[in-house]
Amino acid sequence: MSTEARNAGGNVVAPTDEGTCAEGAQAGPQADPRTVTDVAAGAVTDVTAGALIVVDGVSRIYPGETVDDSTHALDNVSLEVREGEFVSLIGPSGCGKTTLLRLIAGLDAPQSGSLEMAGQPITGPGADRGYIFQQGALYPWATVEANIATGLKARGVYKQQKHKIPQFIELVGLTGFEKAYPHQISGGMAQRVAIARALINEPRALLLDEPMGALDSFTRIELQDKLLSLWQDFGSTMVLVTHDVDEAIYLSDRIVIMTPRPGRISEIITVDSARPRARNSTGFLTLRSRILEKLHLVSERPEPEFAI
Amino acid sequence: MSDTPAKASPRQPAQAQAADPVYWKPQSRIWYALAVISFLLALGANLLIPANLPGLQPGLDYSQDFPTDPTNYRILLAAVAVLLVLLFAVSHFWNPLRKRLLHKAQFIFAGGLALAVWDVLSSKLFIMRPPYFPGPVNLAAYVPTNWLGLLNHITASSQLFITGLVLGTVFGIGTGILIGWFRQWFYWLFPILKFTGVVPATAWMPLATVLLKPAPVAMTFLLVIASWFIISFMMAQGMESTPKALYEVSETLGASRRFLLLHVAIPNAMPSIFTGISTATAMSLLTLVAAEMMGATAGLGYFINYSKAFNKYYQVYAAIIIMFIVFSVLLAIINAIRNRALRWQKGLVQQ
Repeated sequence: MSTEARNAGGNVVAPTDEGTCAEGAQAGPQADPRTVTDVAAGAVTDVTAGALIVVDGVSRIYPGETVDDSTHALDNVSLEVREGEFVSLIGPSGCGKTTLLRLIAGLDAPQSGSLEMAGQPITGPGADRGYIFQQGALYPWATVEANIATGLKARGVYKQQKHKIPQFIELVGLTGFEKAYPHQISGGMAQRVAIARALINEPRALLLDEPMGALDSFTRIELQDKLLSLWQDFGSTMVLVTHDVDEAIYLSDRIVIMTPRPGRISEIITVDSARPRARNSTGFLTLRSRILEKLHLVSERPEPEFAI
Repeated sequence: MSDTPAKASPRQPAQAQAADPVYWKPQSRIWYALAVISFLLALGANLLIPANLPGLQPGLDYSQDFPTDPTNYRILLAAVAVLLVLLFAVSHFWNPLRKRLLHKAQFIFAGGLALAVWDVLSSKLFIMRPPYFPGPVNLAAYVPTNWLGLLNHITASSQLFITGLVLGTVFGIGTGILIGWFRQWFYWLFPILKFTGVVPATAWMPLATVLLKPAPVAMTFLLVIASWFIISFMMAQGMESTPKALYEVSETLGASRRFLLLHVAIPNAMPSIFTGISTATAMSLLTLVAAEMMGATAGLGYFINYSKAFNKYYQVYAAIIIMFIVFSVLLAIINAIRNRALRWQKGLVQQ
């Protein structure tokens, strides 16, 4: 329960662009535990450098029948994600969080603004940015093993690196299911296969689009812990799109709150308590109600009816 | 069983819930005994009822060599009865077989009775008369003694069928990939393909037999035409139905466009291809028999037509029964390949 007090106040930073700048200073303390694990895993060498992902003034409009009909999925959005950072994008549907994630993945292109990954402009999808879909998107015709091997085959390094496959199966706790087909395993297992399939490529960033949205709450909590330990082991940068406020607080270094019509970043909140975080601590709950308020999901009026 | 409703519906008795959903017939030895007896009964009917009952005119076939020797038929009936007993003895050690045998007992029983009735109506009472209605005696006498000649026709038909279907599948998958993956190919090739798909293959028969010599070439052409369209169409459709997420996730794993084609689109089309092959098989068999009847010098279709010309209808029946057996085997082989290739699909996996 040592985490309680820290979340209580002072986490909220000024909105949007300035927010990301101010963020840099605050993100410092969190880097420490991660640096230790990173050195141990030998994965990341350059934690102190600048942002890994830079989104600069990006707009994405989905054209409709008429001009009025078109959707401003993203309107002049800027965001920086540091190497090794865990960032969540949260907001109601239509706020453009998935669009932003797809732009970073290179699966979609913006009308204006620029996106950079490790100093290079993003022009299309690449193996340096793993992507996890809500439903796993496993190949139904391939076994767990073959699904995880896909990245190695696609990059032409299967022969040299196939020894990694059993390691990654073990890493996500699926030993014994190597030969199972996707329809034979549960949703939670499928997501773990998807994560292993992405991680075997050792991507610098892992982009997760509501990966736990379709899971029951027990499996969800289990997978959140798994994700956290994988992040600490691999040190890859995580960008998570989620609907779940608890999930965002439990996992993230920073939470990016977005609002719809047009899609904008309204606020960025730093979570600076140490992990693992207690879901029932006062700090956690205070932050939770703060975010819910921002998302207009709780009534702002006090409710005297319940007072006796 | 304990929580079964007290008042079970008459159609679905309470015990039905515990019963085997596959082998749901009564697992009764009495029915099995009756099944064996029905074949012995058929044998007895053939042995004991005289063919020359007073007041009946024997219906002879017009052809000289109408086979009437009952020996084969009697051996067959006895063999079936003995086989049924043997199988039952063996099934003592293998329960799935026993369940299956007992489940099928009523049908086997009916089969024995039907043979007895057919035999008595045709060869004994002459109510079903040759040449159009030969008896089981005539068929059983004919097939074994002419086995070699029939084998030639079976081989000819099978060869033609397999060649046509394999070529049709290869071309079909090839063009399917082209039209399913490249816009230009789709634009130019698809209308032509559609033309060959809409027009039944048999419509090409007169042209094919005149333009393509020798005859097997013409027939192979017809079979390829019969299967080409549907297989390539299903292939292209199967590739098109690939979920966008699978392409996208592959790209984030580092896949090239070539990889997307070979490792995403084509595997995704597999169920669809096999649907195409199943349809193509049915259409090929149809075309095969029709084509053999018109322009061939061998094959089961040719044999049927030839036999009809000489009024040997017992040969027509024999050919139809042989067709059933041969085509069943071919379909079973195709199904086995399909189940192996699609073992990743739901419901097909039995482990």
